[in-house]
Amino acid sequence: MDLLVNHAIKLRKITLEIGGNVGMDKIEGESHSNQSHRGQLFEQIKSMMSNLVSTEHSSQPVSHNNSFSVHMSDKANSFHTKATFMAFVDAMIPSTLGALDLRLDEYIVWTLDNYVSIQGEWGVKNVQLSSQTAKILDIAAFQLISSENVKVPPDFSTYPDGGPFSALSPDDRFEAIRILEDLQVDLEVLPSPYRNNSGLIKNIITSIHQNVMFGYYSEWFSFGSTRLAYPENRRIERQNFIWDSLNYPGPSFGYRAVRGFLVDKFSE
Amino acid sequence: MSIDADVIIIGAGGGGAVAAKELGELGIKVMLLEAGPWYGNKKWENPNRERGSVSSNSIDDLDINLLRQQYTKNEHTMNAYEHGRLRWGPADRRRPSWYRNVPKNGFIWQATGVGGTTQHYWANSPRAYSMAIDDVWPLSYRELIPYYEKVEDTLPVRPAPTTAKEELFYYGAKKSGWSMLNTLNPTSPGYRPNPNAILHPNEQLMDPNSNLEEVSKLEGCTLCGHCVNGCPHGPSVDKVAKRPTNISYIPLALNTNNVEVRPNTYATRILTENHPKEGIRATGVQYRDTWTGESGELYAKVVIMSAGSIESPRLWLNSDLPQNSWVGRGLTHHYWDWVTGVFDEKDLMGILGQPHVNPFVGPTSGARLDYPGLGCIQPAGVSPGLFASLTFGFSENGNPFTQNPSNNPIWNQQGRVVGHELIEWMSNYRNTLSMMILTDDQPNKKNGVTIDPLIKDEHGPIPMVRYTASKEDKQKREKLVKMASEILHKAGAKKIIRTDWPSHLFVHIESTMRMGFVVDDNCEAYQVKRLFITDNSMHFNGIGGPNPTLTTQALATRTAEKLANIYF
Repeated sequence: MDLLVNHAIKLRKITLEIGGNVGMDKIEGESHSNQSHRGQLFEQIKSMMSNLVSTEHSSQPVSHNNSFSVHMSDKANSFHTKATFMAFVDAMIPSTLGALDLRLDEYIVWTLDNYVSIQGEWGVKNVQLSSQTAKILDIAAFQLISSENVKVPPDFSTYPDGGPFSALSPDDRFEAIRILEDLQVDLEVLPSPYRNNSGLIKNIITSIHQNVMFGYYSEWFSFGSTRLAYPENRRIERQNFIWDSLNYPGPSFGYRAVRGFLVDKFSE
Repeated sequence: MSIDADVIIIGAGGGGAVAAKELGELGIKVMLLEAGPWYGNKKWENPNRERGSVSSNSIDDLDINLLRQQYTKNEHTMNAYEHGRLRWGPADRRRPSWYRNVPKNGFIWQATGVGGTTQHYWANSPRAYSMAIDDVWPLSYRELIPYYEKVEDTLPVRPAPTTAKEELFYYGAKKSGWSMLNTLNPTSPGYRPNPNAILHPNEQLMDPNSNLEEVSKLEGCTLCGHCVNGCPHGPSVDKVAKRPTNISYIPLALNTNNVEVRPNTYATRILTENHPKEGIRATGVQYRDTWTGESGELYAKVVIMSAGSIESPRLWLNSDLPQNSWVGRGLTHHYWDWVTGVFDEKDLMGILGQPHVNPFVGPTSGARLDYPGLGCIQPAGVSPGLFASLTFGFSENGNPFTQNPSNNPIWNQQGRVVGHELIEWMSNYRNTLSMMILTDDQPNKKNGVTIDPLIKDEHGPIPMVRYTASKEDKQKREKLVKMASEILHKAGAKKIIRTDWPSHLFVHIESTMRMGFVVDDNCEAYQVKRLFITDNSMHFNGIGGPNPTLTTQALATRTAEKLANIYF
């Protein structure tokens, strides 16, 4: 039972982070609803947490920590985001020489923060989606854990900065993604812009899967130290050992591969 | 009112460039506006970094050395969705792409730039199926034939050569009982080489003593396999092997000395007036410079929209043009799917005399199976990042499952693949063959483009694009998937995966400004005189399943002729 309590305390900390940061990256014009929404989300998750720990402890410590959690720094937020996508890419293409070794977590954060741009008050700006996406993965993971459908008990030691999602085993991470994609989570508690937005959830979940694969199997990692630079400043700095491992020679001038013509000229 | 050109064309892609060349040859002054960059032009040596010039009107500005530097064939540099050189976005790659709302899993695969999406199209240039046109469209297939012939000569279109992946496909198709076709006008099912807008390989390619880098600077395809990542191979821009419109039609348009092309110029509004005799008619275009943000207006006697099946309806709707309930509606996109088989090296040795398929060799798609009434199947091979992402990452079905063999003996797996299983599949990349499914889906008014009520970008309210397949469309797709799996199976595939692509994959986007509903059979808008359309959006339907570009180009040729007769 001690183990469960430890998990619960860890979960609670993360939950507070989620609650405290919702709305920090808000989209134009939605700030007001986010403010009240943040409260709702927090209350809801708090209540779920209370249920989880209530067998051994009272729910009192949860509300006790409420005040400081709202001031979670951007830095902690970005560590949490990073840990979440490290866990995601590691499950997608495991080691050795998997997606985590090739730092695909950085690629996913970069693409998510450059995926949507909209017209704001003073010009076009990016909607930073990475931290909000990490949060919805956590909420799905939390639901999976609290419904006791995990195959392996969560382990918070691998990604100390991470939340429930990164504490799951790789198979359970995909199960958490499945319940999110199947909209089996309460869409009302998700942070903006995902709240009640099933279309965006499905769009982004598919996109992050594709992007891990595209990033990993293309030349992205070969850009070396320039891989996160503005695209025109990227340079191929190292051999593509993933391509080597597939026996793919990379862009070629051509191949002496003509076997003939089935039809020389079509008829009318 | 002073005018800036006789005709303004919005969009230098598959259709707009064709109309520009045809009008220019008739002595009509054309200004061709393009939202994206211009690769291979000396006036924009660093098109993704600097604003460069405003416009170009001379073939002397084209530069093959620049094109070779810019079309690197590296798939991430060229085709990364957010920031690739061939993306839907501004030339300045420091800036994000232009967002469209696709409210499901899926994406819209279009490219800005002179040449438009033909820059990374596979150059597959079949004609429509006559049965999808005759007694369906407001014009007949026979009327289209001379225009098809003219485009096929100009591009030009040639039967694709056979490389290993085509040979394996032909082997499987023959064993499955399909017959071979050698016609441009299939009316019954069968397989044939793809009619591709790609020059035949140079004879020196097969000379073992030739230097491949030198061969790549001669006329003719080198079978390098990068149609999808942009083709830079040839002695000059106009003689590059793959024939997107920046290679084929734009040089011819510039040669007329009547066409000025203006990249980095985003049309934001069609300008109109209420004329006493003609009624509402187009008079010009409001635009925004994508580098400076400055707006301006340009005036002409005729305006052509060729901005593609998403942007043309968006532009109509954002211009407060007369209400028409079919604007943006009736979208077809061939309801794609993708099936992949993996082969044993021993079997491949027996069939091909070599142990690998090597899907990265040869034209991206060099063969097809046509089935008028149902759709098409095309074997295809793309570079590894695109292959992994499209085959294993892009599925309607996030829950992968293994088929119960008693339910379906043909394909073993369906849906997304992750983890060690993904690594295992990819380790066999060289021994895979994929088949693309194009369904003869039918226009439905509930599918299409609307304007997002909440989200704007710098060009106004953004498009929202939706699609739901009908029961009949689903049945057709299911049949085609079975046929493709059967071909792979007969060719000896040991394992077959059906990816089950999401219904919101927008590539062959057609029929959002349908002939007979929004435009007449000359492609002039019913409600706005002097406003024409020459992109896929004016198709009445999805032409039966074949790749739409050639049909758009034939119709653009015809429309140029018709509008010249009416207004000049």
